[in-house]
Amino acid sequence: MAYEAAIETYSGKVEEVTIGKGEDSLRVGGETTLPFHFFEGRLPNPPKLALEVSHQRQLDRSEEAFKAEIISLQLLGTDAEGKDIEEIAAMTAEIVRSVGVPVIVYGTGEPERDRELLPKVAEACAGEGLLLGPVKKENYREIAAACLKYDHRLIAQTPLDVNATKQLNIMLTKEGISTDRIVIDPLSSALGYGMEYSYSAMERIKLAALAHNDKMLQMPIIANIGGECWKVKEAKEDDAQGVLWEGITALCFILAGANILILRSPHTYKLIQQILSKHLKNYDNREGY
Amino acid sequence: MILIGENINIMVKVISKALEERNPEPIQKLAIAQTEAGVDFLDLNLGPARKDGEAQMEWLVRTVQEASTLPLSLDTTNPVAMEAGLAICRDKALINSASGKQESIEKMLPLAQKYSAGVIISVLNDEGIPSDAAGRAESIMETISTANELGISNEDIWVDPILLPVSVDQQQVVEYMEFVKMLADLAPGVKSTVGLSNLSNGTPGELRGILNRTYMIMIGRCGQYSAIVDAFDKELISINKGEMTGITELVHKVMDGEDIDTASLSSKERDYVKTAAVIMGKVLYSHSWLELD
Amino acid sequence: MAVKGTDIKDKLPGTNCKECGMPTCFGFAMKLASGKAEPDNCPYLDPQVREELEDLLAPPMKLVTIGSGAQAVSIGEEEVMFRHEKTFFHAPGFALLISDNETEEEIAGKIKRIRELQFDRVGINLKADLLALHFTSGEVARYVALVKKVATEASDIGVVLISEDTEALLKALDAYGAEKKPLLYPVTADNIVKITEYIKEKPTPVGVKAGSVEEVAALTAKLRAAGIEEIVLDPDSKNLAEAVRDQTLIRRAALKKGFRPLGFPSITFPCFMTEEKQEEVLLAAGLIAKYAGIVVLSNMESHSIFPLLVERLNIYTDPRRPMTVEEKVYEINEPDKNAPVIVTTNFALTYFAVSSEMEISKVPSYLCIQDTEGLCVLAAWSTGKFTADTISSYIKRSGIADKISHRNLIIPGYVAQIKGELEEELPDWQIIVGAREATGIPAMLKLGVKY
Repeated sequence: MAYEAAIETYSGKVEEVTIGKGEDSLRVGGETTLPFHFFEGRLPNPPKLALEVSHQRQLDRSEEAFKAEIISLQLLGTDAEGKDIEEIAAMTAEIVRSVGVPVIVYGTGEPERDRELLPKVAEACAGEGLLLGPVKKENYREIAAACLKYDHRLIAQTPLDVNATKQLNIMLTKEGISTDRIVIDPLSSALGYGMEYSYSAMERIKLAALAHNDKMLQMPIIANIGGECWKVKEAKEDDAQGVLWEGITALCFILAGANILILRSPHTYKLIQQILSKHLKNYDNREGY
Repeated sequence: MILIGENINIMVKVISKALEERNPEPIQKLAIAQTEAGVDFLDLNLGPARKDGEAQMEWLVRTVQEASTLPLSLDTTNPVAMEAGLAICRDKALINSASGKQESIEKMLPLAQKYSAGVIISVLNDEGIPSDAAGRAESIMETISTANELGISNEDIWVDPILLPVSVDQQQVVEYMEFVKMLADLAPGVKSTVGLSNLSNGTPGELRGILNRTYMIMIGRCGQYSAIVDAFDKELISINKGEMTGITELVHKVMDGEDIDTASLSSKERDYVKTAAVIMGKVLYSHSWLELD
Repeated sequence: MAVKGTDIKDKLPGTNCKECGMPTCFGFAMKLASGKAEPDNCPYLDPQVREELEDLLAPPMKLVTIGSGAQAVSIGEEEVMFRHEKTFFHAPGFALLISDNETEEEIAGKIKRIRELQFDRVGINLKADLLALHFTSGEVARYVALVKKVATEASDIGVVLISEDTEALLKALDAYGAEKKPLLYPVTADNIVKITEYIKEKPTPVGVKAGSVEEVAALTAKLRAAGIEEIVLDPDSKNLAEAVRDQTLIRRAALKKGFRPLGFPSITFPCFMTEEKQEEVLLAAGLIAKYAGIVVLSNMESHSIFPLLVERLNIYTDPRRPMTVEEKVYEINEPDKNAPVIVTTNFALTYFAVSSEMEISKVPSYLCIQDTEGLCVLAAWSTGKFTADTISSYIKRSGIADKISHRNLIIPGYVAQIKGELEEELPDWQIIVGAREATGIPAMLKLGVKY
């Protein structure tokens, strides 16, 4: 029996989503094959890395943070500082307009709160092409309407349930959001704290998108892992271990199909960047990346 | 397919209240309505029946037998209540249900032999629900041989392969069909049954019927002998009587992987085609499956 | 794909004679397919059919064992490309590289480290598995001395012998002892004849190295023709992208095409792909996810090997069964008789999230973990496994009452509705509704659920 490489090509293609505006914008997704599978399909955009900045931390305008290709603002905790919605929206807009890179805005995660907060943020940042979320089944209508009006992209979040993920995407498209304006957040858990569930959810979504050509799952995937990784005791007790904790979680999700990773540590950011640039170089058959 | 009406169930408020007050009227009304709808058995579901199970079952069986001549399927996990019911059943009754769990083998199976009742045996065992067709086969073969040793013949065994909701695990729904196909070869002579409505658990209420009906057609083709169903789903009863051959044939075509020109179909026919495609695992399930092209 | 009962049944006599112990031939076929019966159990099989059956039943990827005794590492016999399709079965072995060029001290240090770097997680002992002994000094005697040292001082750990110099490799094998089943690496196009002859006499697993998957297959075909089946594969991938490609193509060929020459596990060398430590760890992480059988690392420190071991545990967790922890009372931050008591379910992730937050709070406390068959709080409640009656009977049998002087029990916020019932079942106790999410626990404990 002669060897024949078992190449697989797929009928589906992941949507290419543009975030940010004008020259500073970035494209994510667009692949016709599984992560790193250059030998059998196209992966036009490498996974994109975002660095997380909380409102508190952005005040010191860390140099490192602003060299990231994407900034992710986490609004969680802004309520605790006693700020009202208008204030938060204005502050967000100020940062968005000053960083010169595309921005992801993650709300509080509380559906009721985000239903009010995120449309205000969308309005304050009109035209900036934010990636805004999390949009959940409880509050998708209001946030979708604001994103349509002010030209942003959405993060659709459903916890580790591929069927519910698909359902939310269907509901969003019914609201008039086109499929190239949605990014899927299947909820990402840290290494040792349920990572395998997120890993398999991402693999299933990516396979449904590519092999089954399921239009309602062909959106790029985002893995918001910085906060998840750095809250575990294994990261807190040892910085070097924390970087690897976050780095391994990130790489696993890249291999499972994540198109955007939100990281907290600049060290992890550099490490993953190094892996992506070094290990995809000199690869003879590749298209893209 | 032999149909077992599921509608007398303690989970329904009217029934639990009637049972508590020993008020026969609502129960007898349901029994009559199901009988008229055209099912072959009536399921009497008492649930765990921890308190007062014996007396409840006795009263329930008597009450229903006054109103309907159909044979009964007694549905409780309490073996004492089960026995109390079996002892007064007019016709050959069905025990719903036993399983491969040790406790069930010890307490439920002997009742089938003692009262010459039919017995539903599920593929559940002490390790849980097997995840694929082969696992189901392995589990049920063991329980069937135990049942045979107790003097229960294959003809009295109704295998329940356990159906999980399609919204939870599509693959399991496909594995179920694979298992039913092999059942006759595994244990010649055994019957099969299933809680059909389980398929659509978790699916929005107005969409449950079409899932259940489509799946009945599909498992019927795989050799399924009976199902526990909503007796008041008129379309389901009608399909089972062979009155909707067009729909049945369409579903068979999806199972065979034939290309179907959906443009020429009525919207109802299209719905059945889409539903069959979801059940076959060709399309990932979402609540809006009927709205997608 | 693994063979199915339906693929086999037509090869059986079909007489349903029951002499195999199964009620029907089909039942026997199912048992054969799941590996729980042997063709020999059927007395009426034609010898030729028997041979066909054995070939059909051979797993598409062979199980290879390196080392001997309790510490042996078995890899291979995988059945799927993606873990959600079933599960990954045999976790890869981690090997620590030791060069014969290293000093006595360095070598002793590494042996000590691989022994000491052991971690407990959910009652599972996590540790690295193998030593990879690498000939780089150019002095055969020095290499043989290293091998002998490891054979005597670390006889409980399996080894990989690595030498481009075939003479040195075979001398090392003799010095170590083929009966202890070291992995001999590499077998290449240049030395395959010599090694084949040698290990026919002294069987031990071999690692085949060639420049591509196709060339690897050509070599394994030769080994199989010579009756050698204990093989691991190295397609010499230079970077992570190549490794993903090669490992994927090997596994597909084995599982989807039934291509026997590639039906073996693999060995991978992140240690040779980069000089940088953190990068090496990440490459290893990628290889664990993408099908490696053995992962050779140049170094192991607690902060690098521990996350890799946890990743391996995660990826190889069986998705068909929820991970559970043992039902018992866990003591956190050295609690005394006044410490607060939290009860929750034994789903491993629930336990991790809750215990981690309790540790972070620094408040001494007790965590009572109830066996709910691995279901999380809401699922366990809705299926009747975490309700007032099951919790009360668990609390009574748990022995927690003897450890504390108060009678206050914190239940998860998600089951607030059972407070009343639980108070009826546990009349001596005061039931306190705690946080819904684990992240709310430190605040709750610090604010003082005081008594």
